[in-house]
Amino acid sequence: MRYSRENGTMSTKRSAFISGRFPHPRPLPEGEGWGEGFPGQGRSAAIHERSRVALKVACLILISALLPSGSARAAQAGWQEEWSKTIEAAKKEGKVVVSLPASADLRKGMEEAFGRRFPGIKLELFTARGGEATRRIVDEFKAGVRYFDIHVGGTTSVVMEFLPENMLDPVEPYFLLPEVKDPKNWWAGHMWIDRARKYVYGFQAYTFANVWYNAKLLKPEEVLSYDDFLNPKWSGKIGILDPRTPGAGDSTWSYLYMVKGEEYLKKLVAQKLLVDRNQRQLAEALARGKVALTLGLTEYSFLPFMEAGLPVKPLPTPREGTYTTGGSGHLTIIKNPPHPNATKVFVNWLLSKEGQDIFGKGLGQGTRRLDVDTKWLKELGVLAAKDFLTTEQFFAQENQSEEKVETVRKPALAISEKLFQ
Amino acid sequence: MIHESALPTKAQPIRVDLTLLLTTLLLALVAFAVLLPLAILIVNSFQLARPGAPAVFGLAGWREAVSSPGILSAVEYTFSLAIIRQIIALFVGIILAWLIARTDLPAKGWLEFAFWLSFFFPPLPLTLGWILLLDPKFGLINQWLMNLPFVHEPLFNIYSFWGIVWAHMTGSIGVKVLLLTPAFRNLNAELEESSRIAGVGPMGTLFHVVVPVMMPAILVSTILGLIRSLEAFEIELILGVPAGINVYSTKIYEFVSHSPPRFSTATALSAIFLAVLLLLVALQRLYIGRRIYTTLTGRGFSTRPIALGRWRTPAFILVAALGLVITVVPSLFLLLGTFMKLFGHFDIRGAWTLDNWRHIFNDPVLLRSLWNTVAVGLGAGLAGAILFSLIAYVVAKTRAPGRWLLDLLSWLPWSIPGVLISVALFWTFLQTPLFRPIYGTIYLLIIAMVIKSMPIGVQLIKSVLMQLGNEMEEAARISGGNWLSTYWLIVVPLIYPALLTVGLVTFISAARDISTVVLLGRGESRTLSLLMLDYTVGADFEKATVVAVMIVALVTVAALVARAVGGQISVRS
Repeated sequence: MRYSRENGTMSTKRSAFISGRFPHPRPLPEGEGWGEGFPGQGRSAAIHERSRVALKVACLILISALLPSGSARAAQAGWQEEWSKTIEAAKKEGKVVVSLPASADLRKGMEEAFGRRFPGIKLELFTARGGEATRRIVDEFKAGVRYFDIHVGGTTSVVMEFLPENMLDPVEPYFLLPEVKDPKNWWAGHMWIDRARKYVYGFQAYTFANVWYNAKLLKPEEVLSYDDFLNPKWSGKIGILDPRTPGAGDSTWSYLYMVKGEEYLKKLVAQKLLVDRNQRQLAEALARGKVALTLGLTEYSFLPFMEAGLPVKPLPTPREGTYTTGGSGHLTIIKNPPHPNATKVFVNWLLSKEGQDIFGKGLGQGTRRLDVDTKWLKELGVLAAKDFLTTEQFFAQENQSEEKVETVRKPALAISEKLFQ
Repeated sequence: MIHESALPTKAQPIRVDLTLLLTTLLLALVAFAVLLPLAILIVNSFQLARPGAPAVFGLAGWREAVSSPGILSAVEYTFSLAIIRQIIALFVGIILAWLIARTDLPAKGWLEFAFWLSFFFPPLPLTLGWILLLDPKFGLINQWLMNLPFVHEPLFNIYSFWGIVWAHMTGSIGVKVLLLTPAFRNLNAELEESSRIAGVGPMGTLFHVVVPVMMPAILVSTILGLIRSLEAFEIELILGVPAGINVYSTKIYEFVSHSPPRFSTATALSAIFLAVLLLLVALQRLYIGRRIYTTLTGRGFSTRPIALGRWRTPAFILVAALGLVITVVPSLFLLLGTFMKLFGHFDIRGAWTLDNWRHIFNDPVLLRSLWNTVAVGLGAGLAGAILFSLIAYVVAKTRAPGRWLLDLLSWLPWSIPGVLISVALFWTFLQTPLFRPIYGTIYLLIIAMVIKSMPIGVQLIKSVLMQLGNEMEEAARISGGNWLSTYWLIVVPLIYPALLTVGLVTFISAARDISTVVLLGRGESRTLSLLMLDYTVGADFEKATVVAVMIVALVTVAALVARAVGGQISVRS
């Protein structure tokens, strides 16, 4: 894949997942132009008088442009006041309960920073693997137990389990800070995963190397296309993270189904794949040269091996491209959260520069927030969409939205169950 | 026998009432704690509706369970792996338990402790340790052996049927020693002495005298082991899936880890397991029947160890070598792993580091997790020891009607594989208003752990109680004691070592548990095992190993304390 560097360029051909409000030039409607001249030309005094008035108006406009307008000032005072009131109310609620992906770095980073920023509000984190967390949240919600306020994670379980239960609050009403509300601060504006475009907010967008190779066994130029995986030379030499369970193995498999079809998958399985459900073990198999290529492992699995100087490297993206994703960066709010004000505080903090920086560093994933540095992720094989992709590229290759879960992931999963018996 | 009289007489009305009351109370409690989760699961096996839709009932889950691709081969692998493991572990376990409990084997206390330790090991680091040694491509042992002139290809492959059997041996033998040794200790040495006088050698005595008398304990440990093997999961997932070996439990895991989870299929599949379990329990009851296995009576008790004579040193070397291989080697790897930059990679730059330990000690939730683990473990251990001993007492020592039902019910928490029992308990607690006030608290975790440990706890105490003659209780009754004072003053001191062991096993299960804590715990009730999960999922395997070592250290301390206390009060003194 050859991604162009179109940092910040917005497409007028918007995807269904982007809610509008982009700052692109809008042609003026006919008859609203200024080129016709003024009526009553030649009446100089009047012109002079008008010029003075115009000058005054211009000065006023200039001054008002430099200073916040009355309404803007009121708005600013409004949000600040609302923000202060929300924080006070949140302190009375005492805590906010958030379900997060299991990761020690993320947990530590979040707890420390949030605790420092909002001393009176306890951040109670619940960390688990995606499916376990969503199952628990759904069952508690149905039983009327109100414990969780927020769930942040991948999309498959959210789309398949939360959305049908009608158990989420719209996210946007919880946006309070202007820096969070303003779509201009986000690559591609505000982005939604669900068809209703209001319940599952995606705050990350990136792509990453999900094919890795052992440099002692393979030269990257030997695998330029996914078709090269079918070369008999690689029979028994390809490892894959079990695509039957949710995760990057499932995402990679679904993408292959999307771009190459079922017949290709059959041929791939005939290559005697090493199927594993343990990421560490599969990464170890590549580092030790047991396999030459792995599919579906994330950069995080290889980090310790790279640091140790072992010959594991990300393969340049094959010709057919790779999938784009929001990773674990999807925010959902459980309907009628038990701590609504603390929820509002957490949402606005999570989507602030600091929150996004900590979340991205904790998981090694790329935020869409434009003022957060994500270039460093390239070292991990992660390309943040805002640095390397256009919106068309992102949406053409994503396979995690509600629509793609239905049309791509489900059939791909059925095929994997049939082929890996 | 204290409760022989079914018809209350004027002299003993309270005793009989108390027994019946106790039995009824226990039956109600156990039935509620066990049957409700089971019923909820079975109902769910017929529930086909998609999330958000109204309930629809049907047989599709059952159809999918029996026709799912590869299910036949999975069942075949499950049973063959379980049976072979049990045969090997039982044979080795009986000899070890006998040598430790009945002979003058040197350093037997420490050897027993080594086997206990092996039972505590978290399976993931243990399995990775064996992969490091026995992988066909890079396994250290294979590489060393291939340096020999006559070895041209790797001799061992851990990713195989026998590899899985081997990786399980640590836990399988450990649990046999743990379960059988207390029972072997309660054997009156007079039986062995009679055998010796009749001219039978030590091994002959073991297999012709000791084993038949020990049958209740052996059967219970075999059935427990068999059930545990049938639902074994983690090792099969790591070693089996790459080799194309699927077992019944990995199939269930597959269904449960779907999004949304396919509970109907998973629970239908687990019904097969329930049938097998009920069959095994019935067989056990049939075999034991009305035979008498009393080995400990009030008429004098000798525990004089058998002298092994010239076999003493070879036996010691053999047992020590086995203990070394299944306990010390994995312990060393586990400990080494905590100091390595990359587990198992000795030849990289800066291979050794203290960073993993430093990192964990700086984790702000470490202390809270440690405290929660201790609290849940102690609570469950204590509550479990009391409840299980009462159940076992009613089952083994009374003739109360319904005691057979109590026995059967106490097996049932293991009729559901671990990945499902946590879900079943979660649903039960969630849907029962009685539990609402303590939902999400540490107390609910303790209750869940007690239910999960019920089969092993009850059966272990029961097998020890069956060895206990009735004379001492009868003497207590004649002296005017009621069942409570008899139980407290006579039975408890006699079975104290077994009670401690049961409390310890419950403590360990609670300390290691992940699936229940994830479903029932809250942010503030996080335990060490969840901390380990955080690091494992985040690819920080070496740091996860540090937490694993902490868990092992915690249960080792608990085991040492239990042994120290048990040594003072046990029946032997």
